Amino acid sequence: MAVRHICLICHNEIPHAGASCPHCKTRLSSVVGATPQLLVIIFAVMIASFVGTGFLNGSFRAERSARARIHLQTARTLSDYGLHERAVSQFRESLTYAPNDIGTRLGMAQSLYYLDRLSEAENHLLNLIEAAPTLADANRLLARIAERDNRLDDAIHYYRMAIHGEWRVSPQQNRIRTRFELTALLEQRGEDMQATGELVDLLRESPDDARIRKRIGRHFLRVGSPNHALQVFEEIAARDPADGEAHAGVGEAEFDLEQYYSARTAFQRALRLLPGDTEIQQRLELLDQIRALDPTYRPYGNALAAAERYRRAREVLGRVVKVIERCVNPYAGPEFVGPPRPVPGSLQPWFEQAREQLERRLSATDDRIAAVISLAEELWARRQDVCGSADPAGEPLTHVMSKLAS
Amino acid sequence: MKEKLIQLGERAFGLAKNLGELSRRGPAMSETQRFLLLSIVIGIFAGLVVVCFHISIEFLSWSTIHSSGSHSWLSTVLWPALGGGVSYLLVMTIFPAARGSGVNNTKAALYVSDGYVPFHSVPGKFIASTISIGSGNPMGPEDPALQMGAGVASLLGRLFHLTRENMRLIAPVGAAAGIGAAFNTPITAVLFVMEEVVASWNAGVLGSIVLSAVSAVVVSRWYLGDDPLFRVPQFELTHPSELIVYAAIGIVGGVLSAYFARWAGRLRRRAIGMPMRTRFGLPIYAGMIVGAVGVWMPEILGAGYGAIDSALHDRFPWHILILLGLLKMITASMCFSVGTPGGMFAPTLFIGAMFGGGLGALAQLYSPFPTSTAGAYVLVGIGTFFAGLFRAPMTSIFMVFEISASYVIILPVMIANTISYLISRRLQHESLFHIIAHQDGLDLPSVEEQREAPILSVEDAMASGSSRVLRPDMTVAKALAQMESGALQQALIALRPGVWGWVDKGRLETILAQGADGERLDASIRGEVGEHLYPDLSLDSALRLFRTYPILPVSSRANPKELRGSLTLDDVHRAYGIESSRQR
Repeated sequence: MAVRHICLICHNEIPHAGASCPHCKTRLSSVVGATPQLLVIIFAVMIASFVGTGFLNGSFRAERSARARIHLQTARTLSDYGLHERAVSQFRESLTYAPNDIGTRLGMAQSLYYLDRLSEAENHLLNLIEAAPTLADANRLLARIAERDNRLDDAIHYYRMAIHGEWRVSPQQNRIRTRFELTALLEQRGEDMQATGELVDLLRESPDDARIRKRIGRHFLRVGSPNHALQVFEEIAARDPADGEAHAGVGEAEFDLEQYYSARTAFQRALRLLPGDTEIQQRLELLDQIRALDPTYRPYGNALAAAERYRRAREVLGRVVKVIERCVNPYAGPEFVGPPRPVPGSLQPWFEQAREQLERRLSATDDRIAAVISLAEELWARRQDVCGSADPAGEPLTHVMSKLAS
Repeated sequence: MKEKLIQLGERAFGLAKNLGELSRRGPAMSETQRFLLLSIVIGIFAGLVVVCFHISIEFLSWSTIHSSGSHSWLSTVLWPALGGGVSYLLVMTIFPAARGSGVNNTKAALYVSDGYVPFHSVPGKFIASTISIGSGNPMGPEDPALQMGAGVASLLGRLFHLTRENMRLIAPVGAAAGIGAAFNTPITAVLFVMEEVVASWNAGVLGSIVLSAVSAVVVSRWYLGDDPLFRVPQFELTHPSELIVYAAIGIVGGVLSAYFARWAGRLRRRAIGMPMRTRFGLPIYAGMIVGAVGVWMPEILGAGYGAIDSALHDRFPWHILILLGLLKMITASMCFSVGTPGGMFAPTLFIGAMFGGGLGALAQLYSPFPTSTAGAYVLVGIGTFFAGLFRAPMTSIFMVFEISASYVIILPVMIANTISYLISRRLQHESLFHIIAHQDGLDLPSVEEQREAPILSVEDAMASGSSRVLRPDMTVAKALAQMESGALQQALIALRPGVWGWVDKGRLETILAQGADGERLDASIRGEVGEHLYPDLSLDSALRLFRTYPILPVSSRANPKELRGSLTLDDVHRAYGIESSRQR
């Protein structure tokens, strides 16, 4: 490998480094030590090294994948049997060989979640969504973790990401399940409007499956959307008139819409199809109690007689007064000794008026009926001052007052 | 197929021939350009070597400590002992050049042996470190990778007959490639070599180091993928008070790294002082202890990156984290001191991570303010021990970012690592590399010391004001009188704004002796001063100018025409504490 020295200015060869160039007299020289043979050798060694390393890397990757697969299978089996502690250690082994495998990390996070090691599970999931933000499985598990940690805003965010994300298996089924979970969370937070929105989307996306639709209908009822619920249950009932649950759902929706007559009819139909259902029976009984108490009730579209309406109005007022008295003196009863507590000053004038109304027995006129109802409503609205969150009112009265208020 | 291969070969030969022809015909490229090109070749080869090294360690560890078939306590105890013993035997008998620290060997190549790193140190480091780390000894692959890179670079430099100047720099270029490929971190590699190996560098050296590191990382990523070393979850600073915890991590990292360096140095000195026969047994005993600990805590076996990853994901409670850190400190320092081949990079990351995580997890339990998950503290802790032990604060900061690909916790990392570095320096004067070098009989320059050596500047020596300035319209007699009254040997003459001439006392005396005492000074000047200094310039740079001028004006950088003072050679001597010629 001959080493030659070349002039940097005129590119002619000079005898040795530091010698002046015979042509341009400069002393600037450069060493040229790479002969073609050397370059060829280096180039060839480089190619050979690339190929050799490639082969080595190929077998390394194959072995690594095989090991990762074995551990993953074992982990999944253990996880299926509920042996999450052992599953986690297998998942971990698998991850040392295939750290980027989404399924493995997800499986480990799932097992950690079941083991209640939420922080560790969350970190693995955050890793996953950092690389793939739309990974729906990871987002849903993150949402569940956040929900358990009572970070409800985070949970809602992750649920939404999961709903709009990409599912690895059964996307439609998983999306529906996730929407249900999100709806339940929104219900829990009292965000009925948002929950209704989710349910409307769910209804649009869900397959034509009566079981799912009935579930959606029940959620509609829970979030205070009886109109939507009615539509859902009526559709199911129309398609399958023998579906007692659908008729019961119609009944519930009508009940919430204060259509007591239609509700009663639907409940009766449901009870015929599901004769032993105590819940429907109780609903029917409640309906009868409400019908018997409601001063505005119009059987078959006809108004009640004025005397009957007056009686019912007084009955309602009397029950409201009792509710307030029970709130003021919660321990009053046969064993109670001592003077009862007085009604608070703010309620006193209304209370006096109510007592007066209840003691007087006058002929029924529309004005008097309206006055009694209005007084009952006034007291009902003010009962919060003494009753607080505890509401000792029975269901029929609550329903009737709600109807009167509306 | 055969024809295609022949065609490919012919083409390759043709290309190489053209390159050779290009080279033969003359310097189409300058030495600097060829050096840069060679840096890429070095990076490629170093990258390939490190990829093979990485794969070999993995393969071996699958057959030993990660063997699914033989997970008995006995094999866990015996493998590290066997690996330690065999690898030590190899470096002591067959590959003596592969002994010692890769960083120090590279520095020795730079400062002692004109860039010569024996090539057999490359297979030596490769085989010995593969056996040692693959069998479970708690060492890291980065330092051997660094030396392998330097070895490859040195060989190529010799083949290409580089000039002595470039040959010296070739080893650090290869070292950067080696460490870059091992860590998958090009910036860290460049910074580490700059902070730890090469004290002075210019654009050409920087370019070469960057090119080699980048090409090595490209090769490494081509084969092993471009994932960062750790998968770090998203972290954020949850509360400003958390910085107290991060500062505490820095303090602990600094204290521990200082005592670790001291302890490991002492242990190594004692091991070196033992009879040779005993020394052969030490890596075996150390390996046995490692194995025994590994039965109970398998996380400490090998480089331990898996355990760091687990810690980042909140796997361990605080007491386990601290225990792991302590055990790794003991086992790694033991193996390192007795000469088990392997590097200390990975163990330092492990120790820092575990102590950081442990303190963070404790803070989670007891601090009155909200804290991040323990993983965040693990991540910050990673660099603290490294910064303290290797005295490379910038490298440690960028390393954390690069190995985690996470830039969200820049502030805590900077705080913790800087504190650790400062405390470690305060408690332990010498870095670990320096201690080892001294024990090996080498006096290698410390880049840290060079960096921090006080540099005298012009303003430390100059005479302020215009006491040495004469007016051009003065007579020679008056000028001489002024110089004598000021005890001046030379003086500046203000010719025009910003233009200075100079005159010396001897010249004026000669003129006076010739009877021309009424001559104007501007007629007798020795010449214009073509240079001027600034107060912040180093005295070294000023010294070069005294060959031409005995006195130099010192100007303001804001206004070069404004004179701030003057500087003579005597001023420089005085600043350096040298008795001037006149005084002598």
